[in-house]
Amino acid sequence: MTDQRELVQRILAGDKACFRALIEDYQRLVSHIVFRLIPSGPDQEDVCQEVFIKVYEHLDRFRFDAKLSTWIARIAYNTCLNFLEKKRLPIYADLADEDQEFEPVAGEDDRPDRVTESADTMHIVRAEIDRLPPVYKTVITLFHLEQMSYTEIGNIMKLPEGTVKSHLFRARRLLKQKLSATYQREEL
Amino acid sequence: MISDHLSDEQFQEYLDGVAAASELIERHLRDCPGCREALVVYKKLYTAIDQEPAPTLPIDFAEKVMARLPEMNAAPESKSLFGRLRVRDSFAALLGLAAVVVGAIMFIDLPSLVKPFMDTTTLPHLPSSSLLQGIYNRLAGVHLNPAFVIFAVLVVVGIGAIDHILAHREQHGKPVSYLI
Repeated sequence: MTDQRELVQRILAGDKACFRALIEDYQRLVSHIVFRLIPSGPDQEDVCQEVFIKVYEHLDRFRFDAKLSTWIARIAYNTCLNFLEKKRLPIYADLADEDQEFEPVAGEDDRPDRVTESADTMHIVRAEIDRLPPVYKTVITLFHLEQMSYTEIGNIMKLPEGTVKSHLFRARRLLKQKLSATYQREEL
Repeated sequence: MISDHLSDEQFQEYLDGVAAASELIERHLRDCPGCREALVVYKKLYTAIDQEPAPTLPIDFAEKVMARLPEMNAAPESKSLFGRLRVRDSFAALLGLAAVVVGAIMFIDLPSLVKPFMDTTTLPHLPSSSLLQGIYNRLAGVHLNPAFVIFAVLVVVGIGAIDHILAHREQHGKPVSYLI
């Protein structure tokens, strides 16, 4: 936290190199959130840039009451939601539709005899995560790829810890159901 | 003792390493091929999620962000009034204030304007027509006096300077005027 405080203070004092260091330290976190929530294309990088510009503009509002990573992740998450809203893409829709029938993503090129099993599973899982509602995608990403706690995720998404837990549970159950169904189809 | 099959919640808690009853779950898994099979699927799912490669941003990503930063030569704007005032702004502010003061001294008969407000008893009897007449006479007597032109320019500069200082900052650091 002391290092973070010093980093922030030096950036606020106009140290460009420090802000550059901040970008390098947190671009993985930001890109994990943005690439997960924004449909693939040039918008992904634009939104990542926008996130860091917002971080720079509002850095003097950071009060050290949370980790810098949590604060930056919250900006990234909100920027993505604003982007989706502007593009009229669904944000909270489909949360109740998790029990609906689904079409497995695996296509002709994904047959087990063409790709290794683990690569195939990864491909299927990634494609299925892409189809999840943004809230589920974010929870999965922050928990599994950023190893964040329920509390941190709750702070980022402004959700109670119990809701985060519940979203994570449902998202993984949904993915497991889809994966099982894909395996069953392949066995037929 | 777990009699039925494991629930999704138990599988997930077991793999997250937070299951309080992990010993019971392990015992159940030893005796239940169906749950072992389900656990394999869950394990594959966890592995696939955990091993997903991080997205790659272009190598010059940081450069691009730095190039887009607002007024990179200065520190991020402080939101306090004194924090916002820089040398250039302060100079403009002083110029504007000077213009207003000079204008007030040169062209406005301050005592006659202030008096009605100082003495509230006289306010209801303020002869508004005489005030308007006074302004009209003053304007009629200007005849494009060079001093008046200078004053007008100073007023415009003053207003512009004050607006510049008060201008709030929008996204990407572009100052947005309150007037325009």
